[in-house]
Amino acid sequence: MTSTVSFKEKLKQAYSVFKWDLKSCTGTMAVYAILAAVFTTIILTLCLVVGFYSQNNTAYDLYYSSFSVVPNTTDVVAASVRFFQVAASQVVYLLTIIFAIIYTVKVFSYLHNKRKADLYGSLPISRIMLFVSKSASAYLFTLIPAMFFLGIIFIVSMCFGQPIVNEALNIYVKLLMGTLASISAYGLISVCCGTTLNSVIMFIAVCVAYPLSAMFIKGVANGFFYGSYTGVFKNHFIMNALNPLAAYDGINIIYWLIFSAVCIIASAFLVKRRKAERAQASFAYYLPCHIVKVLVAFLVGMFLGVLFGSLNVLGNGYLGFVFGFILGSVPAFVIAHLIFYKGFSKLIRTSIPLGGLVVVVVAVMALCNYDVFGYNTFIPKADDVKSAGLIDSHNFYRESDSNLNKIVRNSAEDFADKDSVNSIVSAHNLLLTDKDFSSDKKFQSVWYDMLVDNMKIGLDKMQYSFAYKMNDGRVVTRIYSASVYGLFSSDTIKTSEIVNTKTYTEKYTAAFNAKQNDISSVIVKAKSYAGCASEDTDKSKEDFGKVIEAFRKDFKADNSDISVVLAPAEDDVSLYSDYYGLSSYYESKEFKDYQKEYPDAVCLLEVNTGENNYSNPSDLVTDIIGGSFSIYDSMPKKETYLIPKSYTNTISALKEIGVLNSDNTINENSDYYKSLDVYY
Amino acid sequence: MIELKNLTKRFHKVTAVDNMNLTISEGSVVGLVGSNGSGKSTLLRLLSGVYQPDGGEVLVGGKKLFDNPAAKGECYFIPDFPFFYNNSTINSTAFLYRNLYPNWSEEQFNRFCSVFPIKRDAKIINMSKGMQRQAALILALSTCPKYLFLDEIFDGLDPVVRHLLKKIIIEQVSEHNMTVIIASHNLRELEDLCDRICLMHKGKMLMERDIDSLRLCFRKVQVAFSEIPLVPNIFEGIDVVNVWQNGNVFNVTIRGTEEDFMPQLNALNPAYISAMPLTLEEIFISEMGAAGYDVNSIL
Repeated sequence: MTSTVSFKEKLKQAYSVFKWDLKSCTGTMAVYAILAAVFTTIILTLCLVVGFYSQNNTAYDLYYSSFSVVPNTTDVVAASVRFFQVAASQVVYLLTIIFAIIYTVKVFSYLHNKRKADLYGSLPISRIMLFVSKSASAYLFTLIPAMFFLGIIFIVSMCFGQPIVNEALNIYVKLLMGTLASISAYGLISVCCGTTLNSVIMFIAVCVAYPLSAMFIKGVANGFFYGSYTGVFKNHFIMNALNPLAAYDGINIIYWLIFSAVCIIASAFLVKRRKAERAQASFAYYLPCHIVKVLVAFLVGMFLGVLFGSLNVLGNGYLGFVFGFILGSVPAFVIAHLIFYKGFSKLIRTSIPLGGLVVVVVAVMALCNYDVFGYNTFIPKADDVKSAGLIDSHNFYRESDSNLNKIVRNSAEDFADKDSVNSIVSAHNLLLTDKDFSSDKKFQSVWYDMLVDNMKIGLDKMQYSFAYKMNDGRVVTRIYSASVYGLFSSDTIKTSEIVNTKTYTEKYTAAFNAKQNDISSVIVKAKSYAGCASEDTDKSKEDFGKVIEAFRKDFKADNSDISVVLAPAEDDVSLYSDYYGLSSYYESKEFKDYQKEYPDAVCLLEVNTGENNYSNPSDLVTDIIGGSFSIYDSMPKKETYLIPKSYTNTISALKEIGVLNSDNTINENSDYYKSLDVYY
Repeated sequence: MIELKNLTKRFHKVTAVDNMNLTISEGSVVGLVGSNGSGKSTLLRLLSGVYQPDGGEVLVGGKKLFDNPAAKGECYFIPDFPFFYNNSTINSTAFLYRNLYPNWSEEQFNRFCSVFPIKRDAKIINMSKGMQRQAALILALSTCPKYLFLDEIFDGLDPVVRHLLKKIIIEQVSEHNMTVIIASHNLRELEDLCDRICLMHKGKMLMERDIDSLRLCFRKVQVAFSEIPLVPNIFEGIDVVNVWQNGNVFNVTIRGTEEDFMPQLNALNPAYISAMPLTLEEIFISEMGAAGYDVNSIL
């Protein structure tokens, strides 16, 4: 027989528990409030002092020179207040994360203490309602004070007549998502654990071990399957699926909402059945413990295994790996067991997952190491290929959110003629010539991927891709980037026969595929220069949009030898090839050089995409603290085309917008005329 | 009414409460006594809905208690070590209980705050053990529970407060028909307060009886003989709980009244014989001794 409590009564009970928790967290909240108030005041004071002082002072230059950028605004005080907004919001953001952890640990400790279990277990409130009330307390204790201080920051900013900057606004979303996901995840872990210490250790282990393990898996995929596409690992979900702290990045909001909902539902389901007597025992539910122990064992095992493998311990990379993996994973598993179980009890019985892990990892790594499927050395015979495609990243534009793998797969149908296919297969052969696929190199490649490549988050690291549509209909792709297997040289990999074709240009260059907003600048070069940049007016963008459109029309209609138009592109390929990622502007040929070679040349049309995102100091702060490394989001790229006299539409458009005079020289009286200094 | 039906609670391999059956009527004061680890506190936690039974069921007022807020609203449990947050005061804790317990009485709260000699705004955590128990009692009694479960409540209370507590409990039972279950090793206090006693050992109920009948059904008998009768078993036919012999003098604990055993003992021509009722502590020791839990068997 059961009695029921009305919904209104339940709400009243939940409110009582919330207020009770509020009282117990008053001291902690006071510390948060003091720190947030003091830091906000310090930042505001410093910003204003620097701002006012710098208005008539050279310190202004010093202040901004530290960011290596030129501020957009001439109003120094306004810039300082905007800087204050972002910096103070970031401090509040960081403090909130730290205190969210403290509140959460405190609030959920009622599950981990026998005396508290007696108190809360005998209270006339349902277990689920109690848990939900406690979770709500943790959310609100975290968010309300944060919102209060962010509100103050915004009010102060508005008093100085400054609108709220996006970075500061984004912090609301980040805090909301991060708090929701982290507290929900910790709540679930708390329900499963018997002690607060185990809960905290398990939460940290999940947050740290999961992303690092994913990085190792990605490293192995990259290192052992040279040419495979691992762009999937750039996905926030893959790298952080089980790391609730990643929700503070404020992306993948739908996923984190689902993640939080699943955690809350699972917690509610488990807390109803949780035995109160498990308070102060190791665990109430053991599954998460087994998962974390295996995860930690995997991580430490991989670290030592890959290290020993790359150092060629035992004279063989693979044997070194096996030795290192066992040497790392077994002690890590045992130590994790000792921490969680407070002793050796049940060690043998719970070691079956460790045995399984060792067997699986050793077997999988053997398959990878000995390239059982011949992945690394696969190059098709030209006769087996129906059509093929090659993409050279130096002459390749794509939208940042486009699917590289899909683009590469689609490129398999670009060239069906035998000459082109032979050329692509030949370039592929040259690329793999003399590559050392020994064990230790493969393990070194894992480190390279983890330590070097992972720093370039979001950057398209591809250098060359090959795609083949085989006669049997299969599509085979390989995507190569620089690695420990060696850099590529344009001397050995000849791609110009493919890249400097009409098909390739129309399909893969920015001039033909970039949207107007993605073009950072268009520059017309002859004996002098003119151009517009993305931050210029709408009119300028519209004007240069017309020029690009006209150029596309001319190029498509051009049935003559397009090598003239693409001559600068070919030169750029040679320049860039050995120095991927580094701009070689200074060494480009000038217009006069081309004019000697092609007397019909009127001007150079330069299309730039990508930009350095550090246009103001606030972005720098956001990136450093937020850790998003947005500098790599869109690296600058340049395409240059030689405009011959036959490109009448392009020349007319340039004249129409006033860049060219009637004699095809640069109009120095044009609004778009700019000196060299502005651009370089 | 409280009913335990085949109630079982296990902690791994230990069965703390083993297939227990018990019925406690409304308005009784029941004392739970037993050896250490006999399952008294576990039973109270089962009764108050902290623990979920592994077998059988607990019905309090006809309702299952585990995760049943409405039923729990009529119960209050004071554990052996009540928990208070560091900054809790009686007033701040009352805020929580006021909204959770449907029978909370502000009048009772004010009354008990004035009756017990402690400050309602002082931090409970800084108080002595006895004062913390008084704080717990104030809060407990203010919820006007129909069922009150107390674990080692006399521990740490001074004699005056102990007396006060007993008085208040008796008052609440008589005025509000409150049912009280007290687990304690302080048998002297239970003797004054309880009308029934349950004796537990190793998770089982060894005995449960009205305290008056319990007192009546045990006698401590001293029998001295000038010459010990030459019979194989002197006390044959008498329900002897234990015997201690010193020369010709026998100290015997007998289950029964004088009418049951005096004729048989007198027939042995003792030089001296006296019988008197046992204290609860003596009954406890005797019964526990019979269950194999006495000083001799321990040592």
